[in-house]
Formats: sequence, structure tokens, C-alpha cells
Amino acid sequence: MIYSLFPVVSTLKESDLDHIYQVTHITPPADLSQVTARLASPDYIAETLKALTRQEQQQLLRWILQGREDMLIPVSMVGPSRHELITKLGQWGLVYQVQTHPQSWTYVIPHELVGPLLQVLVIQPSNALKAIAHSKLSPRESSESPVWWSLIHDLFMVLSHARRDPLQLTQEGQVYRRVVSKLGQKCWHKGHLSSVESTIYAANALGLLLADANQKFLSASPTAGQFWQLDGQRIFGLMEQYLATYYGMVLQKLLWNLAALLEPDQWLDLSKVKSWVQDQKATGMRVYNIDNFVHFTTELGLTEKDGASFRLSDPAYWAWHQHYEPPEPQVVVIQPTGEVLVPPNASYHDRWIVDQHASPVKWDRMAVYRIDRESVADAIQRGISVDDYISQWTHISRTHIPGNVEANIRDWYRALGRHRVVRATLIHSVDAVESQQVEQILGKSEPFLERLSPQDLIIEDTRLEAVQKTLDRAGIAMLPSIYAPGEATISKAAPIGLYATGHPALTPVDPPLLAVTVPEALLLATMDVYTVQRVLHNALANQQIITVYFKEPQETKAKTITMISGYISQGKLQGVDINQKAFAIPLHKVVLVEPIAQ
Amino acid sequence: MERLPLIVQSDLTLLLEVDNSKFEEARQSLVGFTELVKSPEHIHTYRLTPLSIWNAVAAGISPDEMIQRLATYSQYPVPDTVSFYIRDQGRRFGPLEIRKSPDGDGFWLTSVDGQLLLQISKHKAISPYLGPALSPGFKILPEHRGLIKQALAKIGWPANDLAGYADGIPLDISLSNTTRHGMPFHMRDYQQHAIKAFSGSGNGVIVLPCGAGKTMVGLGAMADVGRDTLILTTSVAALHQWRDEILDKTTLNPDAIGEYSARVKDLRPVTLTTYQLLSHKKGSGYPHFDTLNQHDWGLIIYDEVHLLPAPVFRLTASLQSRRRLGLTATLIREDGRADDVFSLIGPKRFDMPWKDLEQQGWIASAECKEIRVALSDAWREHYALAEDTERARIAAENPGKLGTVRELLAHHAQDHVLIIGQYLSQLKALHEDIGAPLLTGETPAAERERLYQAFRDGHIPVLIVSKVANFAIDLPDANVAIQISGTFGSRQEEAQRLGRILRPKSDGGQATFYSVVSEDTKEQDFAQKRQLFLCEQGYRYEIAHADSKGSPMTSGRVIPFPAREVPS
Repeated sequence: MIYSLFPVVSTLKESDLDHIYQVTHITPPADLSQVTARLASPDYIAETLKALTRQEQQQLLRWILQGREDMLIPVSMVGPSRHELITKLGQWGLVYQVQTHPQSWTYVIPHELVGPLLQVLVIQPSNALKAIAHSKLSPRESSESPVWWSLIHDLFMVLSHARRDPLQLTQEGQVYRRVVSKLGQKCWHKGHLSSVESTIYAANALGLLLADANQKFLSASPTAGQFWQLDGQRIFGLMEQYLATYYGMVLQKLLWNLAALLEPDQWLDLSKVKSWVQDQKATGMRVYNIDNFVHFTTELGLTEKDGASFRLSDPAYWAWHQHYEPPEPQVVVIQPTGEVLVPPNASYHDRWIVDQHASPVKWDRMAVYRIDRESVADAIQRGISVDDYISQWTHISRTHIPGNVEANIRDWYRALGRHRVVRATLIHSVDAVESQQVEQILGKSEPFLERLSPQDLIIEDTRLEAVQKTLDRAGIAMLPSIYAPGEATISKAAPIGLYATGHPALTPVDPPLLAVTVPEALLLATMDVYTVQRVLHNALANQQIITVYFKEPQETKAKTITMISGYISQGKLQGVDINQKAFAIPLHKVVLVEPIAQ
Repeated sequence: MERLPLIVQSDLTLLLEVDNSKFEEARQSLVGFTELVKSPEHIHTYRLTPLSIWNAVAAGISPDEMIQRLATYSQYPVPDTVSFYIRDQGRRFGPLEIRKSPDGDGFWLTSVDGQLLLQISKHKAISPYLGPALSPGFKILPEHRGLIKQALAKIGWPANDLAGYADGIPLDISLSNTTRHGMPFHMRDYQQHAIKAFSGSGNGVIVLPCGAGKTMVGLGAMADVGRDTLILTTSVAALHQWRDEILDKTTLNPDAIGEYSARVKDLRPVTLTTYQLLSHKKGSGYPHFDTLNQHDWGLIIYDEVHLLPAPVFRLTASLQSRRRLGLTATLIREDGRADDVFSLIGPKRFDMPWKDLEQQGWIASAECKEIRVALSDAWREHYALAEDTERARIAAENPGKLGTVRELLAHHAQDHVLIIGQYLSQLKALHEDIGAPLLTGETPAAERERLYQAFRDGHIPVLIVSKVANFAIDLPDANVAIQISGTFGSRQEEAQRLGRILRPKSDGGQATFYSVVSEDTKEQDFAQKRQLFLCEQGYRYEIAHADSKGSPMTSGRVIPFPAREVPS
């Protein structure tokens, strides 16, 4: 479990909160985000850590370097000094006590504090880590993080696509290659398929994609709409949290913060960082994790690399330093041609509304959509009235809606609104007399009963069970099956015998937006690979030893493995067994995963 | 600080914001190396194409300068892919040149880049047109000059044609200062710019909206070149109008002007003919083309070049030694052969947005209105049960449109109204209903001219015309056009028909263009496509509804929508 500062602070008792206000020198009542920003500021942490002895600082560093992703206090920390350190850190708002089980409590460091702590404890004292590459590469082109940049663009594009046309999954739970290729044509760096895959992973991890009950498609989850109401700062914060969840190893946090602390025109020399890591010989700090992290963050557009030179991308760098281009409201332009142009500085919220209300034409700096019959049909199906539809355009548009476009919208609404396909449930009787009898019995209790033909009565779909009970009580028995048109008149024998009902139903996981709970053991049989990956990442990042139980009886029933990284690629668990033999287990062959507490 | 007006997209389109103080400056800067795709109200779209870049290089704008101009006005950094594209295309124009052969026999394709010559000589689209090697390069037969230019442009290595043109027989011609009626006459600024843009190269296309005086540009080019001229038009009526304009606004006398038509075969220093006659085939040859091609023309003018028939393209390939001027209101070709216009007539040399001319008062401002007329129950059934191929016509001939036309005529009782349609039966029914004269392809030329004149003189307030009037007729006082049927989604037809009423009105009044279509039919869909074109030129459309009898109506019945919360 990742513990974030904001939810932790917001659940504090009033007296504890007063104390936090006091130590951070913030006068209540202040916005809690002010408090959390102060707690996570490097200045505040540097100031408070001065009060620790050198030995206590080393102890705190060991705590962090244990590499536990959730920053729970390690069992190795024992004795009176432990208590003293925790008390000090707790009083400064850097450590919190959380209840993990009804009878169990532990101490945690919220993940946002880890970076600043590392800066003070490791980065600032270490000359080796200040190894800066003197790159001839291009200087930074901007001085703020733009509203619309590669990561946001690709995330938006994936969600837009998944909302309209859910992403089809293979048997292994991977998005089909052809779908990824199609998305690749629309992404910021055209044809960059691995970037699309990374974005899908990120979107899924943030709970923005949701698999259907049959695990065949990933579509945009209802939380996607809420997500795009956030501003750039909150979204960047969530991306950092996502990285902390999936790349929560201390080395990766170190690298991220190190890159963020560079001057704008500086690059980091990765080869020197790797040398430093090898010299440390610390648990959990493996050089290959650097490459893994660099690769993934570069795919997402958060970092950039040239040879051994590495730095945060322009948008990520300025976002880390809280320099954001402010989005502008009402900048969408609706042309008389029906084209809708969304400038790069449009707010995400307005952009998402456009995406819902118009058909996409072009993904680029200026996104181009078109209001057409299809977009109107889509709005009707989402239950939006013509007046609401037009009013929403008026609210987000700089130019208002041209008269001919509005007239077209109203005409399409009228044309599409005159007829509707209605799914009806019929009670088909053997003859008119029998049907009359049914009508008489139901007539009093069923408000929505209509006759279609002498032998057919229409009942409301949702009332089927009640209708069957009423008729049953009146002595009219019916088969439970529902027939397709044409089948109803054919006499069918009732099914005989028992049918396998499959695995006991498990409700598909509806991923929350911010946090994921890791159960003690994960039953994977009915989850799609993406959900499994999201859930497992939390477990694997710290509980690196797990027992895997296989679906197929002819295979080994269970195997205890050590994961070689917290990253699950291509739906495979990659690890080494007790004999240090490396192998990969496809997730679809796994029925249960049980983390083994260290 | 105000944002810069330009956004450069990675797909080579450029979006220019109109409501920006640097708009005009940026537009002037882009004009030299981009193509205007559309200019609706708020944001204009330009595009970088190989042709636009080659033209710019030919005009002396370097790729670096193009990139610099984009960077100057772009709100965001110019994408690397765009810079790369400009540099790549920019280097392609220039290395290959067509010159007069050094041995005095035919032409010579040459280059300082030997590798490039070798590369193109192996290309199967090029090799058939290459003659014997003449280092460095290949000899070209005169009849292959156009074909090889066309083929080289298609493979992305355009040739710079430096072989020049046949001089042609000198013609003593200049523009008059007054018309025959004693009215002062002079070229407008933009017409002079267009003539200058053409004269510099001796070939190319001028794009100006109907009513903006394309014919004047043609006359200006004739005076500038001062050589015998062949003018190709779309119809005999158009031919006569050209003749009238030449006599009205130049110093030429009638003896210098000849008509080469089905009726008359009169070859003079300035000869007017039609595309139809030029492409008339007899056996395996084109006798009229051969006859006309015997003369030493110094200039050929292609009127309404977007209508150039395919056979004329082939014939034009052999006319590369003549100066060539294309005139059109739109480069949109429904057959998609705009590239051939570039290769064979020449690149676009001048273009001016319709709305700019309107703002400057050179063409009348226009209101565009579409009226959607409901089908009666019986006509709806007729439409629904018809074959797909018949539906367009059934929708177009909706009897309810007659009622709408009556309503509109009552509203425009003081105006000069032109009613334009596609189907003769519908036009005849309308003619019988409202009593206005009908002009079709069957109307004899003399009667046609009489009707035009009566309409011009104001004796006839309403004139019904078939599609023969789409092009090249001059109806200066028409201020209302009612289009009751058209050719599916033809955008250029819509443009031409609107053009009928765009000539500036003597009282400075506004023009109104109605498009009457049948509601909820294919015709409405087609009309939307046509409407799109005018919206792209900066016009706004209003939409109104009429019932099945043609009377105004507000709205139709719909099933109430389920009350759900609108997602925020």
C-alpha cells in the first residue's frame, strides 16, 4: 500500500492537525494542500533534519534504503533509539502511525516525503551524485510545463479511443497489437508503439481503464471524467505517485529527484550514477533498475535520454518545479464548417467535453473534431437533450455556436429522435384465449402491459421476474428460458441435468482512482491481466518473494519465486526460483499469488 | 502579451487565427510558400505541399527562410518533422532543368547531379520520355516536354523548365481607359498583382472568385504578353462574352477577333474556341486541335480551368512551348486531377480569399440560406420505395419546393432573381407555375442572348435557368439566386452558382443565395457537402425549414428524451 500525504493528513485528529499547523508555521484554518506542500518542501525537511544526530540520520537513511515501497518501518529497526527517532519524525509530521489490521499498527513515511528526504540525506552530501554531463544537446525550449504535452496527449488519446471503441484484449489479456498500432498512428510521436503500451499501463494503473465482465475489452472507466477535471499539478502528482508505486525502489526515487534538482540546462551523467550505485552495495539498489526506469519514463515523455546523458523532459522538469502554463477557459473554436478546434491551452475539462460531444478528426497540437450526425447520435444515447448539448458547447466555446451548426444539430436530433429501437419482452401464448387469460391476471398488477397481437403481450423487461411469480401463483406456469424471435413457437424440451456454473462469481475489480489495496492472497482466475498487474505491482515492489499457484493441474501446483523486478511485462511474472533458475510465468496460467512477508 | 497567431501542426497544416493583431502580417508571410486550404470565420487553414514548396523555391524563397517565417509567427516550436519536410522538398526543385538542346535540336534534360540523372533515368515512368544521352543529361523530343514534366513532378523531382516559350506572332493590343459605353476602366490592384504573378513565369493559374474579374486578368495578360492569343472557353455563350469584353476593354477591333466554333471557323490573331470543339476526335486525331496548333500562338488562356476535360490535358501536354494562363474560381476538381493542372498549365500563381474581396467591396457581400422542405406523405412513400439511383432525383423534384419558391419570390418582389435547377421537368413545372421565362440548353443562342439582355435591362425580374448558366454568363444585376436542384455534392457548382450573384451591385446592396433542398433525404446530405465549401470560404449559412407545401415551419415532432443528468 502506498500512503499519500494528503489522505493521511486529512484523517488526523483535530489536536494532531493543530500540532502540524504549529510545526509548519501555518495559521489555521488553511487549505490542507498548503500544509502538505510545506511538509514535502525540501527546505522544511532540511531544516527539521538538522535536529537529528548523525547516527539518527543514518538510521533514517537505512529505513529508506531498505527499499520497502510503502515505507513501513522495517523489522530490523529495534531498540530505544528506534522509538526516539520515530517520535521526533512524528512530531515534525514526517512519520505517521497507521492501522494495517484490526489489531496491528505500524509507522509509515508518506511517499511524497521520500524524495525530499533523499535529497537531504543522500544527494546533497554526495559529491559523486552531482555528476553532471556537459551535453551539447539542445537547451530547454520553455520555462513552464505546457497544458498539452506528450504524456497528457497520449493519455487523453488512449482514453478517448477506449471510450468510443473499447480496446480489445487477447486471451492473455494484452491489448491486441493491431489496436496498439492504430493508437500509435495518433500518438504524439507517431508510430511509437512502446509509448502507447506504456500509456495504457499507466492509464490502467491510475484506474482510468476498466475491463468488461468477460475480460475482452478495456474501456474508459467512469473515473476518467473526474480525472480530466483535475489541473496539471494534480495530474502530474498522480503520475509521480504512479511512478512511486511501480518504480518505488529507492534508487529510482533517487534518480528522479536527482534529475529534478538539476539546473535547467544540465544533464545527468548516468554512467557516473551507476558507478556510485555499485560502490554503495546497498540492498535493493541494482544498476539494471536504472535502465528499466529510464526506459519507461522516457516512453512516457517524462524524461529524455541521449547516450549516457539523462534529464527530465521540459514539461516534467517545469511541473516538478511547479511552473505550469495556466489553462484558459473558453478557448474552443467552433467553425461554421462544423469543425471544432481545441487549442493546446484549453483546459482538460473543456477538452474532455469536446471529446464526448464531437467526432475526432485529427490529433495534433491543435486537436480537430467535427460536430456531425454520429456525434449527435452518441450524445442522444448518453441521454443528453438537444438544449443541454448546445448549452455545453456555448459554455466552452470562445466563438459560440454558429447558426447553421446549431440548425444542423437540431435537425439531427429531430431526425434521430423520431424513431427508437426498443427491446421488448413478450409473453407469447399458444392461442388468443390463453393470452387473454394472462392479460386478465396481469392487468391489475402490471402498469406497463400492452397487447401486440392476439397471442402476444408486451411486458416491461425489468418486471419479468415479478410477472412470472404472479402468473405462477395464479396457476400459469412458464419455462424460465427466454427465446429469440422465431424460437418461441417451437416446442422445446426442458433441459435435463445439471450444468456447470463455472467458477463462483467474483465481482470484477472496479479500480479506485488513487489507491489499491493488496489482499494477502490474490485470486487471479477472473481478473484481466491489467488488473492483475496493477494489483500485483504493489505486492511485488516490496514483497519480492511470492508463491504462485497454477491453474492447470498437470503443471506444478505451486512455486515460490523471487521476482527479478517489480515490473511485469507482456503479462509475465519474471523471477528466479529457489535454485536461482530464471523463468517467466504467463499470468493467464496463474490462479493465485500469495506474497510471503519478509 | 498576445499569443502568436499560428499553430504549426505536425501533419503539415498551418492554423492561422483571424482574431489576432498579427494575422495580416502572418498571412502575407505564409502566402509565398503555402496553399490556402480554407478560410472560414475564425481560423484559416494553410497547407505545406510539395507544390507549394517547389513554387516558393522557384520564386527564390529558401527552405531556411520558410522555416524562419513559420517560427516567427508560431505560438509553439515548429515540429522537427515539418522543418525536415520543408528542407527535403526544397532541395528537390532546381537540380533538374529543361533547357533548349545545345545542339539546337529539341530540348535537353540536364543536371549537375549525375547520380540524380542516373536515378531518374532508371525510373520506368521517366525512361520512355528520355531521348539519347547528351552529357550531362538526355535529349527530349518537343512533344515529350509536357509529359516528362508531368512524370517528374509525380515522382517528386520537378524539373525547372528554362527552355522558354515560342515568341508567337506580335499583336498590337493594349487596355482601354474607357469602355465602349464611355465608362472609365482600369485594373484593380489585385488584378494587377495577378497579372504580374503570371507574367514573371509565363504559365500558371489565377484563382479568383466569380465576379472578381478573372476575364479582366485574362485581358491584362494578353496586353502584357502582346502576342497572338488562343482562348479556350466552356461554351459558345462564354465565348461570346469574352469577345464582348475584349472589344469593350481593349484596343482590338472586331477584325482581330475570330470565333472558332461548330458554326464558324474563323482563325484570327485572337481566336476563341471551346473545350468541346478542341477535343473533338475524328478517327485517331483531333482535327480542330491540329488546325489551331498550326498557328504561332504566344499565349493560350484556359477559362474555368477546373473544367478542363481529360482529352484537353493530353493535348495540353504538347503545348508546353506556349505561354499558358489558367483562370478559375476554384482549383477543386471533382475528378481529383488538380496535380495535372499544376504540371501542364502551371502552378497556382495568385489566390485571394473571397471574404477579402468582399471586405474591400470588389464583390458583393452575400447571405447564404438553406431551406429544408419536408416531403409530403405521398412523396415520402415515393422516395422510400424508389431504387437508390432514382432517389436523388425524386428528392430534388419535391413538389413542395414550388411553394417555397413562391414564398421567396413574394419576399423578393423588388429584386432580380435567378432560379437555377438541374432537372428540366422541374424547371418546366416551375416555369408554368410562376410564368417566368425559362432558359435551357435547348434555347437557341439568339433567344438566349435576348433573355440575358432583357434580364440585364430589368425587363425580366425573374429568370429560370438550367445548368447551362452555371458558367461564364454575366448577369450583373442578379442579386438573388434560388437553387432548387443541383449535381449531388458538387462543391464547384455551388461556388459557381453563388458567383452568379457576387458581382458588385450598383446600389451597393447585398446578394442572397438560397439553396432549397428536401428534408431528411440524400439531397440534404449532398447539400451539406456543398454548404461546407462555402463555409470554408468564410460564408455563413442560415438554415430554415418549410413544410411539405413549402410554407415556413419551425420544428418537427420528436420523442421526448430520457431525463438523465448531463455529465459535467
